[in-house]
Amino acid sequence: MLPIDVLDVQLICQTTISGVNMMIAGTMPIKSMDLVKGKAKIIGNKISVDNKEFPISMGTGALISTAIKVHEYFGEDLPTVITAGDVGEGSGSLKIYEQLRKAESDLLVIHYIKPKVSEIKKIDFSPKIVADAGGMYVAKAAGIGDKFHLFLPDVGELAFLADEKASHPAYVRGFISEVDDREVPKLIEMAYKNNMPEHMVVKGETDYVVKNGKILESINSPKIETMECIGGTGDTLTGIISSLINYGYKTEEACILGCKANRLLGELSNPTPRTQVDELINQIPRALKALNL
Amino acid sequence: MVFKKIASIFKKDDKAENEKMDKNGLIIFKNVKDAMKSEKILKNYNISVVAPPPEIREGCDLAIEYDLVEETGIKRELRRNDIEPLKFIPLNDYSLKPLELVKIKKLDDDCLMVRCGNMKITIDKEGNILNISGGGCPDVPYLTLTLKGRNILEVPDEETPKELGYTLCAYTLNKAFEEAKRLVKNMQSFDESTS
Repeated sequence: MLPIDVLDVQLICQTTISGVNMMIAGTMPIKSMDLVKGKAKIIGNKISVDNKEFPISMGTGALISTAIKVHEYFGEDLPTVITAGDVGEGSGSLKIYEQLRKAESDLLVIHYIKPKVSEIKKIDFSPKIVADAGGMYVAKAAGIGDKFHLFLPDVGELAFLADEKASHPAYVRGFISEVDDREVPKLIEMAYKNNMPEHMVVKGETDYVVKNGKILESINSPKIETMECIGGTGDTLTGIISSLINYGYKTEEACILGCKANRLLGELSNPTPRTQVDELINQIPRALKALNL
Repeated sequence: MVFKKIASIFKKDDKAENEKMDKNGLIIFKNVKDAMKSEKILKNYNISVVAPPPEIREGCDLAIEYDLVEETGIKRELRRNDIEPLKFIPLNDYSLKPLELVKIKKLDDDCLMVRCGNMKITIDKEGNILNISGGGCPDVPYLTLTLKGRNILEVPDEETPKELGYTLCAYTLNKAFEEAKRLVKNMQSFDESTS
């Protein structure tokens, strides 16, 4: 049973920007794979880019497949992907950073990438840039969060954004990392004392949609606790919101709708701790339909 | 309230930091993998893993803080293991330590989620790895693909996050992994002793 409030959303969709395509940049967990660039599509249970196939697991793969599903739902041109193999040593990440020095789209999503402060400073900041995962870590570590359009931290990552000394979520000082979930508004206030993007979504038990440090809306229904342990549920949120922005929704509207849609993925999947993210991704059309999009 | 708490902790931190600066140094490595390997090699020394100084930090780096008195032995140990650090420097006041606090959450179906920092690993009571979530560095999806579906007690040492990973996300995942493994072992010995 879907809650009434999510069925009652009335939002105005702006016209899609003609000819402008969303670009997703992030690594794939495949050793020694060279740079791959092209339109992404789903074939069976794999993502295909430029005739190369990738798994729909957590990480950039989950984000890409989510974005494809949302674009397909709206009948939009599919997103472009820049990816390279990287299992953590950093070679693929460097190839991606190099590609980002010249903008090729109006909306860029930077996802799983090895943080390199010296490299992120060299990218072209003319597009709207959504940063999640490593893309967000490096933007904060470099102190240039205000050059970005949207960050999507969970509560632990918000603590990292709030700690002006931390260069990675693993370095958040104890007195901040132990702040209770109920103190998220205080952490948001602390984060915005540093350089932060105009928009932020803090994902967690309650999702907070933030603009310029001010909480516009908090969303906590439906509440599916099991989602926290399923790898990739944050990636699906980023994929939905970015795609809605690309489709033409105002960012704050896209964030609110995205949080609701992502929670619906959980409700529709009825997940257990064993559930994998692809099961949730398959529910995207139903979730978007339930929101009257 | 939160800010007062922060201010008081800063004062305590300052005193402790000054004392450490007199006696400790930092080992700077080419990459996180060397740092993680060195932590294991130097386990019998008085060391801790910390963030490198901001001027050389790239966002995902590890350094090792050590007692200057032990420098000779540490250098010899690393040399024997073919690790060549970039440099050994006196400790400055920017020392930040990676999170080590591990939290455990009980889930449905007798499953446990073990969290360290931004990384979470979910296991059932037999020790099967059901899910890995969190993180943002490129080795996280790789480690997930490598570990998911396996039994945590059957993962050999050379395939743990600490051995396969390169980043701080792998470092914190390894802390969660080790705790999850310990919990499964304890649960199994508890079950055996009560059966």
